[in-house]
Amino acid sequence: MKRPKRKTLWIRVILQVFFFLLIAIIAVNHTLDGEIPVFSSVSLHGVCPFGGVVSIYQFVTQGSFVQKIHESSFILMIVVFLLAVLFGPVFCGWVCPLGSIQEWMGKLGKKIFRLRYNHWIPVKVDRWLRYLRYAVLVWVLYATARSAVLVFSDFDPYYALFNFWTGEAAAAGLIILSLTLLLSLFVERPWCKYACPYGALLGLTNLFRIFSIRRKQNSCIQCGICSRDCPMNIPVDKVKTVRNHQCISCLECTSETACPVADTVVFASGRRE
Amino acid sequence: MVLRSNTLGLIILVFILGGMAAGTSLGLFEDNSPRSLLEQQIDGEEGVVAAVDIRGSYTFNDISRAFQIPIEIFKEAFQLPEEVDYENFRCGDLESIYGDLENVEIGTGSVKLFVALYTGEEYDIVQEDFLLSDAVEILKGRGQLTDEQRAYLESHTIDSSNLPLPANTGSDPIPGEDHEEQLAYMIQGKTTFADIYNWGVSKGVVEEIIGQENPTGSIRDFCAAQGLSFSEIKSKLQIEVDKVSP
Repeated sequence: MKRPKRKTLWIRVILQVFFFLLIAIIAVNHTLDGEIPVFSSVSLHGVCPFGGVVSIYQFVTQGSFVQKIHESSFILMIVVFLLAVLFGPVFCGWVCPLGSIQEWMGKLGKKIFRLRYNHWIPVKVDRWLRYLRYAVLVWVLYATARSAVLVFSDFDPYYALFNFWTGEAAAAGLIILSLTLLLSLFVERPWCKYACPYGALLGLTNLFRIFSIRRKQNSCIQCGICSRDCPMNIPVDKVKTVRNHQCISCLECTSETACPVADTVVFASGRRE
Repeated sequence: MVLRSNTLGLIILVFILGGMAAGTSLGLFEDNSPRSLLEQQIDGEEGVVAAVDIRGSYTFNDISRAFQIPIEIFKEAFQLPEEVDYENFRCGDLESIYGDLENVEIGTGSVKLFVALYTGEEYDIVQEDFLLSDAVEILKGRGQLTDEQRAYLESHTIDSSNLPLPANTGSDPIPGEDHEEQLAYMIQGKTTFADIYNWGVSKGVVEEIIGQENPTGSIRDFCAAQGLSFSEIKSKLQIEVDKVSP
Protein backbone atom coordinates (compact mmCIF):
# COMPACT_ATOMS: atom_id res chain seq x y z
CA MET A 1 0.00 0.00 0.00
CA LYS A 2 1.06 3.57 -0.48
CA ARG A 3 2.62 4.76 2.68
CA PRO A 4 0.79 7.70 4.31
CA LYS A 5 2.90 10.60 5.52
CA ARG A 6 4.09 9.83 9.03
CA LYS A 7 3.77 12.35 11.81
CA THR A 8 6.61 13.48 14.03
CA LEU A 9 6.44 12.95 17.77
CA TRP A 10 7.55 16.46 18.60
CA ILE A 11 7.39 15.95 22.35
CA ARG A 12 10.00 13.19 22.08
CA VAL A 13 12.23 15.29 19.84
CA ILE A 14 11.98 18.20 22.29
CA LEU A 15 12.87 16.01 25.26
CA GLN A 16 15.80 14.43 23.43
CA VAL A 17 17.22 17.85 22.53
CA PHE A 18 16.54 19.14 26.03
CA PHE A 19 18.36 16.31 27.80
CA PHE A 20 21.21 16.34 25.29
CA LEU A 21 21.77 20.04 25.93
CA LEU A 22 21.31 19.65 29.68
CA ILE A 23 24.00 16.98 29.93
CA ALA A 24 26.29 18.90 27.57
CA ILE A 25 25.97 22.07 29.66
CA ILE A 26 26.59 20.18 32.91
CA ALA A 27 29.68 18.54 31.37
CA VAL A 28 31.02 21.90 30.16
CA ASN A 29 30.20 23.49 33.51
CA HIS A 30 32.21 20.81 35.26
CA THR A 31 35.17 21.62 33.03
CA LEU A 32 34.74 25.32 33.87
CA ASP A 33 34.59 24.61 37.62
CA GLY A 34 30.94 25.70 37.79
CA GLU A 35 31.20 29.07 36.06
CA ILE A 36 27.82 28.63 34.35
CA PRO A 37 25.22 29.73 36.92
CA VAL A 38 22.08 27.71 37.77
CA PHE A 39 23.37 24.46 36.23
CA SER A 40 25.01 21.75 38.30
CA SER A 41 28.75 21.31 37.84
CA VAL A 42 28.73 17.73 39.04
CA SER A 43 30.91 15.41 36.98
CA LEU A 44 29.42 13.39 34.14
CA HIS A 45 29.50 10.30 36.38
CA GLY A 46 27.18 12.14 38.74
CA VAL A 47 24.44 12.44 36.13
CA CYS A 48 24.76 8.90 34.78
CA PRO A 49 22.22 6.50 36.27
CA PHE A 50 24.31 3.53 35.16
CA GLY A 51 26.97 4.72 37.61
CA GLY A 52 24.50 3.85 40.34
CA VAL A 53 23.98 0.37 38.89
CA VAL A 54 27.70 -0.49 38.81
CA SER A 55 28.05 0.83 42.36
CA ILE A 56 25.33 -1.36 43.86
CA TYR A 57 27.68 -4.21 44.79
CA GLN A 58 30.14 -1.94 46.58
CA PHE A 59 27.35 0.01 48.24
CA VAL A 60 25.80 -3.17 49.61
CA THR A 61 29.06 -4.83 50.68
CA GLN A 62 31.05 -1.80 51.88
CA GLY A 63 28.58 1.05 52.15
CA SER A 64 30.59 3.19 49.75
CA PHE A 65 30.47 4.13 46.10
CA VAL A 66 32.75 3.10 43.29
CA GLN A 67 35.39 5.71 42.58
CA LYS A 68 33.98 8.86 40.94
CA ILE A 69 30.35 7.82 41.52
CA HIS A 70 28.09 10.16 43.44
CA GLU A 71 24.90 9.75 45.42
CA SER A 72 23.23 11.59 42.54
CA SER A 73 23.83 8.55 40.32
CA PHE A 74 21.81 6.48 42.77
CA ILE A 75 18.93 8.96 42.73
CA LEU A 76 18.83 8.90 38.93
CA MET A 77 19.13 5.12 38.87
CA ILE A 78 16.06 4.78 41.08
CA VAL A 79 14.07 7.31 39.02
CA VAL A 80 14.95 5.62 35.74
CA PHE A 81 14.17 2.20 37.13
CA LEU A 82 10.76 3.38 38.33
CA LEU A 83 10.06 4.81 34.89
CA ALA A 84 11.16 1.55 33.30
CA VAL A 85 8.88 -0.57 35.49
CA LEU A 86 5.96 1.64 34.49
CA PHE A 87 6.74 2.43 30.86
CA GLY A 88 9.71 0.30 29.80
CA PRO A 89 13.13 1.72 28.83
CA VAL A 90 11.85 5.25 28.11
CA PHE A 91 15.24 6.49 29.30
CA CYS A 92 16.76 4.95 26.16
CA GLY A 93 14.14 6.28 23.76
CA TRP A 94 13.48 9.70 25.22
CA VAL A 95 16.39 10.79 27.41
CA CYS A 96 19.75 9.14 26.73
CA PRO A 97 21.90 11.63 24.79
CA LEU A 98 23.94 8.84 23.22
CA GLY A 99 20.77 7.23 21.90
CA SER A 100 19.62 10.61 20.60
CA ILE A 101 22.80 11.39 18.72
CA GLN A 102 22.74 7.94 17.11
CA GLU A 103 19.17 8.61 16.05
CA TRP A 104 20.12 11.99 14.56
CA MET A 105 22.98 10.39 12.65
CA GLY A 106 20.50 7.77 11.51
CA LYS A 107 18.31 10.41 9.90
CA LEU A 108 21.21 11.12 7.57
CA GLY A 109 21.57 7.39 6.91
CA LYS A 110 17.86 7.16 6.07
CA LYS A 111 18.23 9.90 3.49
CA ILE A 112 21.18 8.11 1.91
CA PHE A 113 20.02 4.49 1.99
CA ARG A 114 16.22 4.93 2.22
CA LEU A 115 14.48 1.56 2.71
CA ARG A 116 17.79 -0.30 2.88
CA TYR A 117 18.65 1.69 6.01
CA ASN A 118 18.52 -0.33 9.21
CA HIS A 119 18.09 -3.57 7.26
CA TRP A 120 21.69 -4.49 6.41
CA ILE A 121 22.29 -7.27 8.90
CA PRO A 122 20.63 -10.66 8.21
CA VAL A 123 17.83 -11.28 10.70
CA LYS A 124 19.32 -14.55 12.02
CA VAL A 125 22.69 -12.96 12.74
CA ASP A 126 21.09 -9.84 14.12
CA ARG A 127 18.94 -11.83 16.53
CA TRP A 128 21.99 -13.35 18.22
CA LEU A 129 24.02 -10.15 18.15
CA ARG A 130 21.28 -8.55 20.23
CA TYR A 131 22.36 -10.67 23.22
CA LEU A 132 25.89 -9.30 23.10
CA ARG A 133 24.91 -6.41 25.31
CA TYR A 134 24.08 -8.79 28.14
CA ALA A 135 27.63 -10.11 27.98
CA VAL A 136 28.85 -6.50 28.20
CA LEU A 137 26.56 -5.91 31.18
CA VAL A 138 27.85 -8.99 33.02
CA TRP A 139 31.47 -8.03 32.30
CA VAL A 140 30.98 -4.44 33.47
CA LEU A 141 29.23 -5.46 36.69
CA TYR A 142 31.78 -8.18 37.48
CA ALA A 143 34.87 -6.12 36.66
CA THR A 144 33.58 -3.09 38.58
CA ALA A 145 32.64 -5.14 41.64
CA ARG A 146 36.03 -6.85 41.61
CA SER A 147 38.18 -3.76 41.11
CA ALA A 148 36.01 -1.04 42.68
CA VAL A 149 37.05 1.10 39.72
CA LEU A 150 34.87 2.39 36.90
CA VAL A 151 36.40 0.06 34.34
CA PHE A 152 33.74 0.85 31.77
CA SER A 153 34.43 4.58 31.57
CA ASP A 154 37.48 3.96 29.39
CA PHE A 155 35.27 2.24 26.81
CA ASP A 156 32.09 4.23 27.32
CA PRO A 157 31.11 6.22 24.21
CA TYR A 158 28.70 8.30 26.33
CA TYR A 159 31.59 9.42 28.54
CA ALA A 160 33.73 10.07 25.47
CA LEU A 161 30.93 12.10 23.84
CA PHE A 162 30.84 14.61 26.68
CA ASN A 163 34.54 14.56 27.53
CA PHE A 164 36.34 14.57 24.20
CA TRP A 165 37.46 18.17 24.81
CA THR A 166 38.82 17.55 28.30
CA GLY A 167 41.48 14.98 27.49
CA GLU A 168 39.90 12.66 30.08
CA ALA A 169 38.25 10.43 27.50
CA ALA A 170 40.29 7.30 26.82
CA ALA A 171 41.35 6.45 23.27
CA ALA A 172 39.22 3.29 23.37
CA GLY A 173 36.13 5.31 24.29
CA LEU A 174 36.74 7.81 21.49
CA ILE A 175 37.23 5.01 18.97
CA ILE A 176 34.04 3.26 20.09
CA LEU A 177 32.15 6.56 19.92
CA SER A 178 33.42 7.22 16.39
CA LEU A 179 32.51 3.71 15.29
CA THR A 180 29.07 4.02 16.86
CA LEU A 181 28.36 7.26 15.04
CA LEU A 182 29.66 5.86 11.78
CA LEU A 183 27.60 2.69 12.10
CA SER A 184 24.56 4.83 12.89
CA LEU A 185 24.57 5.81 9.23
CA PHE A 186 23.73 2.19 8.38
CA VAL A 187 21.98 0.77 11.42
CA GLU A 188 19.64 2.59 13.77
CA ARG A 189 21.06 2.88 17.29
CA PRO A 190 23.86 0.28 16.90
CA TRP A 191 25.26 0.87 20.38
CA CYS A 192 21.83 0.47 21.97
CA LYS A 193 21.09 -2.72 20.05
CA TYR A 194 24.35 -4.58 20.42
CA ALA A 195 26.52 -3.21 23.20
CA CYS A 196 24.81 -0.93 25.71
CA PRO A 197 24.92 -2.58 29.16
CA TYR A 198 22.42 -0.15 30.63
CA GLY A 199 20.03 -0.73 27.76
CA ALA A 200 20.38 -4.45 28.41
CA LEU A 201 19.39 -4.02 32.03
CA LEU A 202 16.50 -1.65 31.34
CA GLY A 203 15.40 -3.86 28.45
CA LEU A 204 14.54 -6.60 30.92
CA THR A 205 11.68 -4.45 32.22
CA ASN A 206 9.96 -5.02 28.87
CA LEU A 207 9.05 -8.43 30.19
CA PHE A 208 6.90 -7.11 33.03
CA ARG A 209 6.32 -3.37 32.59
CA ILE A 210 2.87 -1.87 33.21
CA PHE A 211 2.39 0.10 29.98
CA SER A 212 3.30 -1.59 26.69
CA ILE A 213 2.92 -1.15 22.97
CA ARG A 214 -0.33 -2.97 22.07
CA ARG A 215 -1.82 -3.73 18.66
CA LYS A 216 -5.58 -4.04 18.09
CA GLN A 217 -5.99 -6.99 15.78
CA ASN A 218 -9.52 -6.14 14.69
CA SER A 219 -8.59 -2.78 13.23
CA CYS A 220 -5.04 -3.64 12.08
CA ILE A 221 -4.74 -3.70 8.29
CA GLN A 222 -1.48 -5.70 8.35
CA CYS A 223 0.43 -3.06 6.38
CA GLY A 224 3.60 -3.76 8.36
CA ILE A 225 4.54 -0.10 8.63
CA CYS A 226 4.83 -0.35 12.42
CA SER A 227 7.50 -3.02 12.09
CA ARG A 228 9.26 -1.23 9.28
CA ASP A 229 9.47 2.00 11.29
CA CYS A 230 10.60 0.43 14.54
CA PRO A 231 14.18 1.63 15.14
CA MET A 232 14.92 -1.58 17.01
CA ASN A 233 13.51 -3.80 14.18
CA ILE A 234 10.86 -5.35 16.39
CA PRO A 235 8.09 -7.17 14.44
CA VAL A 236 5.26 -5.19 16.01
CA ASP A 237 2.74 -6.40 13.42
CA LYS A 238 3.27 -10.01 14.50
CA VAL A 239 2.34 -9.61 18.15
CA LYS A 240 -0.54 -8.29 20.20
CA THR A 241 1.64 -6.87 22.96
CA VAL A 242 5.28 -5.97 22.47
CA ARG A 243 7.36 -7.74 25.12
CA ASN A 244 10.58 -7.70 23.11
CA HIS A 245 13.62 -7.02 25.31
CA GLN A 246 14.86 -4.43 22.82
CA CYS A 247 11.83 -2.12 22.83
CA ILE A 248 12.77 1.42 23.90
CA SER A 249 9.21 2.79 24.18
CA CYS A 250 9.87 5.47 21.59
CA LEU A 251 6.26 5.17 20.34
CA GLU A 252 7.45 5.49 16.74
CA CYS A 253 5.28 2.51 15.75
CA THR A 254 2.04 3.80 17.25
CA SER A 255 -1.01 5.32 15.63
CA GLU A 256 0.32 8.70 16.69
CA THR A 257 3.11 8.37 14.11
CA ALA A 258 3.68 5.37 11.86
CA CYS A 259 0.48 3.30 12.03
CA PRO A 260 -1.99 4.71 9.47
CA VAL A 261 -5.09 3.48 11.35
CA ALA A 262 -6.26 5.47 14.34
CA ASP A 263 -6.16 3.86 17.78
CA THR A 264 -4.70 0.59 16.51
CA VAL A 265 -1.13 0.52 17.78
CA VAL A 266 -1.22 2.22 21.16
CA PHE A 267 0.74 2.60 24.36
CA ALA A 268 -1.54 1.23 27.00
CA SER A 269 -1.87 -0.66 30.25
CA GLY A 270 -4.25 -3.44 31.22
CA ARG A 271 -5.76 -6.04 28.98
CA ARG A 272 -6.64 -4.93 25.48
CA GLU A 273 -7.48 -6.90 22.45
CA MET B 1 -5.65 2.89 29.87
CA VAL B 2 -4.07 4.48 26.82
CA LEU B 3 -1.21 6.93 27.26
CA ARG B 4 -0.50 9.55 24.61
CA SER B 5 3.00 10.69 23.75
CA ASN B 6 2.51 14.16 25.23
CA THR B 7 1.43 12.69 28.56
CA LEU B 8 4.31 10.22 28.56
CA GLY B 9 6.77 13.01 27.74
CA LEU B 10 5.51 15.12 30.61
CA ILE B 11 5.70 12.20 33.03
CA ILE B 12 9.31 11.50 31.99
CA LEU B 13 10.21 15.16 32.39
CA VAL B 14 8.57 15.39 35.82
CA PHE B 15 10.19 12.16 37.05
CA ILE B 16 13.72 13.03 35.97
CA LEU B 17 13.71 16.74 36.75
CA GLY B 18 11.86 15.98 39.99
CA GLY B 19 14.53 13.45 40.92
CA MET B 20 17.27 15.94 40.11
CA ALA B 21 15.49 18.70 42.07
CA ALA B 22 15.08 16.41 45.08
CA GLY B 23 18.73 15.39 44.83
CA THR B 24 19.79 19.03 44.52
CA SER B 25 17.79 20.01 47.59
CA LEU B 26 19.64 17.28 49.50
CA GLY B 27 22.98 18.55 48.16
CA LEU B 28 23.57 15.39 46.17
CA PHE B 29 24.17 17.11 42.84
CA GLU B 30 26.90 19.35 44.14
CA ASP B 31 30.39 19.12 42.77
CA ASN B 32 32.57 17.50 45.44
CA SER B 33 35.83 17.69 43.56
CA PRO B 34 38.86 18.87 45.57
CA ARG B 35 38.66 22.21 43.74
CA SER B 36 35.05 22.65 44.76
CA LEU B 37 35.80 21.77 48.39
CA LEU B 38 38.50 24.42 48.42
CA GLU B 39 36.01 26.94 47.10
CA GLN B 40 33.65 26.02 49.94
CA GLN B 41 36.39 26.72 52.45
CA ILE B 42 37.13 30.04 50.78
CA ASP B 43 33.43 30.82 51.11
CA GLY B 44 33.70 30.43 54.86
CA GLU B 45 32.92 26.78 55.57
CA GLU B 46 35.34 25.60 58.22
CA GLY B 47 37.53 22.54 57.94
CA VAL B 48 36.40 21.41 54.50
CA VAL B 49 39.98 21.03 53.33
CA ALA B 50 42.99 20.26 55.53
CA ALA B 51 46.60 21.03 54.63
CA VAL B 52 47.05 17.38 53.69
CA ASP B 53 44.33 17.80 51.04
CA ILE B 54 46.20 20.55 49.17
CA ARG B 55 46.69 19.60 45.52
CA GLY B 56 49.38 20.68 43.11
CA SER B 57 46.68 22.38 41.05
CA TYR B 58 45.73 24.83 43.80
CA THR B 59 46.99 28.35 43.26
CA PHE B 60 48.72 30.25 46.04
CA ASN B 61 45.87 32.70 45.89
CA ASP B 62 43.34 29.93 46.62
CA ILE B 63 45.42 28.50 49.43
CA SER B 64 45.93 31.94 50.91
CA ARG B 65 42.18 32.57 50.96
CA ALA B 66 41.19 29.10 52.14
CA PHE B 67 43.67 28.93 55.02
CA GLN B 68 43.69 32.67 55.71
CA ILE B 69 47.45 33.02 55.34
CA PRO B 70 48.54 36.34 53.78
CA ILE B 71 49.92 35.92 50.28
CA GLU B 72 53.04 37.85 51.32
CA ILE B 73 53.87 35.04 53.73
CA PHE B 74 53.96 32.54 50.85
CA LYS B 75 55.98 34.97 48.78
CA GLU B 76 58.59 35.17 51.50
CA ALA B 77 58.48 31.52 52.55
CA PHE B 78 59.03 30.22 49.03
CA GLN B 79 61.07 33.15 47.75
CA LEU B 80 58.68 33.98 44.95
CA PRO B 81 59.59 36.98 42.79
CA GLU B 82 57.42 40.11 42.63
CA GLU B 83 56.08 39.36 39.15
CA VAL B 84 54.39 36.08 40.11
CA ASP B 85 50.72 35.98 39.10
CA TYR B 86 49.19 34.40 42.20
CA GLU B 87 45.83 33.91 40.48
CA ASN B 88 47.42 31.35 38.19
CA PHE B 89 50.60 30.20 39.89
CA ARG B 90 50.00 26.74 41.30
CA CYS B 91 51.87 25.29 44.22
CA GLY B 92 52.78 22.31 42.04
CA ASP B 93 54.77 24.75 39.90
CA LEU B 94 57.31 24.99 42.72
CA GLU B 95 58.49 21.51 41.86
CA SER B 96 59.68 22.65 38.48
CA ILE B 97 61.23 25.96 39.50
CA TYR B 98 63.15 24.28 42.31
CA GLY B 99 63.69 21.17 40.21
CA ASP B 100 67.46 21.61 40.06
CA LEU B 101 67.95 20.86 43.74
CA GLU B 102 69.69 17.56 44.29
CA ASN B 103 68.02 14.88 46.41
CA VAL B 104 65.47 17.28 47.86
CA GLU B 105 62.19 18.64 46.61
CA ILE B 106 60.40 21.90 47.18
CA GLY B 107 56.89 21.36 45.92
CA THR B 108 53.32 20.59 46.89
CA GLY B 109 54.46 18.57 49.89
CA SER B 110 56.43 21.58 51.13
CA VAL B 111 53.36 23.79 50.82
CA LYS B 112 51.27 21.24 52.75
CA LEU B 113 53.89 21.10 55.48
CA PHE B 114 54.23 24.86 55.66
CA VAL B 115 50.48 25.47 55.79
CA ALA B 116 49.97 22.81 58.47
CA LEU B 117 52.77 24.15 60.68
CA TYR B 118 51.73 27.76 60.09
CA THR B 119 48.11 27.16 61.06
CA GLY B 120 48.99 24.75 63.86
CA GLU B 121 46.94 22.03 62.26
CA GLU B 122 47.57 18.45 63.32
CA TYR B 123 49.80 16.97 60.63
CA ASP B 124 51.70 13.71 60.50
CA ILE B 125 55.12 14.35 59.01
CA VAL B 126 55.92 11.16 57.20
CA GLN B 127 57.14 12.42 53.84
CA GLU B 128 60.61 13.81 53.23
CA ASP B 129 59.38 17.34 52.60
CA PHE B 130 61.81 20.22 52.79
CA LEU B 131 61.30 23.92 53.42
CA LEU B 132 63.42 26.93 52.59
CA SER B 133 65.16 28.58 55.52
CA ASP B 134 62.90 31.64 55.06
CA ALA B 135 59.83 29.47 55.62
CA VAL B 136 61.37 27.90 58.70
CA GLU B 137 62.15 31.34 60.13
CA ILE B 138 58.53 32.38 59.65
CA LEU B 139 57.34 29.25 61.45
CA LYS B 140 59.78 29.68 64.30
CA GLY B 141 58.66 33.27 64.63
CA ARG B 142 55.10 32.12 65.25
CA GLY B 143 56.35 30.19 68.27
CA GLN B 144 54.00 27.24 67.98
CA LEU B 145 56.31 24.50 66.73
CA THR B 146 56.63 21.41 68.88
CA ASP B 147 60.06 19.98 69.76
CA GLU B 148 59.46 17.16 67.34
CA GLN B 149 58.63 19.57 64.52
CA ARG B 150 61.67 21.70 65.31
CA ALA B 151 63.88 18.61 65.19
CA TYR B 152 62.40 17.62 61.84
CA LEU B 153 62.95 21.06 60.37
CA GLU B 154 66.55 21.12 61.57
CA SER B 155 67.31 18.33 59.13
CA HIS B 156 64.87 19.38 56.41
CA THR B 157 65.78 23.01 55.79
CA ILE B 158 67.45 24.36 52.66
CA ASP B 159 69.45 27.53 53.05
CA SER B 160 67.83 29.81 50.49
CA SER B 161 70.78 32.24 50.51
CA ASN B 162 72.71 29.68 48.48
CA LEU B 163 69.98 29.20 45.91
CA PRO B 164 69.78 30.95 42.57
CA LEU B 165 66.64 33.03 42.15
CA PRO B 166 63.77 30.95 40.79
CA ALA B 167 63.25 31.42 37.11
CA ASN B 168 60.17 31.08 34.98
CA THR B 169 57.64 32.02 37.62
CA GLY B 170 55.16 33.81 35.41
CA SER B 171 51.59 32.82 34.83
CA ASP B 172 52.32 30.99 31.62
CA PRO B 173 52.45 27.23 31.80
CA ILE B 174 55.94 25.96 32.43
CA PRO B 175 57.32 24.11 29.42
CA GLY B 176 57.23 20.37 29.81
CA GLU B 177 55.09 20.56 32.91
CA ASP B 178 52.13 18.22 32.82
CA HIS B 179 49.87 19.12 35.68
CA GLU B 180 47.27 16.50 34.85
CA GLU B 181 49.97 13.86 35.00
CA GLN B 182 51.11 15.15 38.36
CA LEU B 183 47.61 14.89 39.76
CA ALA B 184 46.96 11.51 38.19
CA TYR B 185 49.05 9.71 40.79
CA MET B 186 47.85 11.52 43.90
CA ILE B 187 45.89 9.57 46.48
CA GLN B 188 42.57 11.27 47.05
CA GLY B 189 39.36 10.56 48.92
CA LYS B 190 37.99 8.18 46.32
CA THR B 191 41.25 6.49 45.39
CA THR B 192 40.94 2.74 45.76
CA PHE B 193 43.49 0.07 46.56
CA ALA B 194 43.02 -1.19 43.01
CA ASP B 195 44.15 2.23 41.75
CA ILE B 196 47.45 2.14 43.56
CA TYR B 197 48.04 -1.46 42.47
CA ASN B 198 47.49 -0.24 38.91
CA TRP B 199 49.98 2.57 39.52
CA GLY B 200 52.61 -0.04 40.31
CA VAL B 201 52.67 -0.33 44.11
CA SER B 202 52.90 -3.98 45.11
CA LYS B 203 50.21 -5.63 47.20
CA GLY B 204 52.79 -6.69 49.79
CA VAL B 205 53.91 -3.11 50.38
CA VAL B 206 50.31 -1.95 50.76
CA GLU B 207 49.46 -4.77 53.16
CA GLU B 208 52.53 -3.95 55.24
CA ILE B 209 51.45 -0.30 55.56
CA ILE B 210 47.81 -1.16 56.23
CA GLY B 211 48.68 -4.03 58.53
CA GLN B 212 45.98 -6.20 57.02
CA GLU B 213 45.65 -8.57 54.12
CA ASN B 214 43.63 -8.03 50.96
CA PRO B 215 42.32 -4.50 51.55
CA THR B 216 39.68 -3.55 48.96
CA GLY B 217 37.56 -0.58 47.97
CA SER B 218 38.34 3.06 48.64
CA ILE B 219 41.28 3.75 50.95
CA ARG B 220 39.41 6.40 52.89
CA ASP B 221 36.41 4.15 53.52
CA PHE B 222 38.66 1.26 54.45
CA CYS B 223 40.52 3.42 57.00
CA ALA B 224 37.25 4.70 58.43
CA ALA B 225 35.93 1.16 58.78
CA GLN B 226 39.12 -0.10 60.40
CA GLY B 227 39.63 2.90 62.68
CA LEU B 228 42.88 3.89 60.94
CA SER B 229 44.06 7.46 60.33
CA PHE B 230 43.38 8.17 56.67
CA SER B 231 45.89 11.00 56.50
CA GLU B 232 48.62 8.80 57.98
CA ILE B 233 47.92 5.85 55.71
CA LYS B 234 47.51 8.16 52.74
CA SER B 235 50.87 9.81 53.33
CA LYS B 236 52.65 6.48 53.69
CA LEU B 237 51.02 5.10 50.57
CA GLN B 238 51.73 8.31 48.65
CA ILE B 239 55.44 7.84 49.37
CA GLU B 240 55.25 4.39 47.78
CA VAL B 241 53.22 5.73 44.85
CA ASP B 242 55.75 8.49 44.27
CA LYS B 243 58.51 5.90 44.14
CA VAL B 244 56.91 3.99 41.28
CA SER B 245 54.91 6.64 39.41
CA PRO B 246 56.41 8.07 36.22
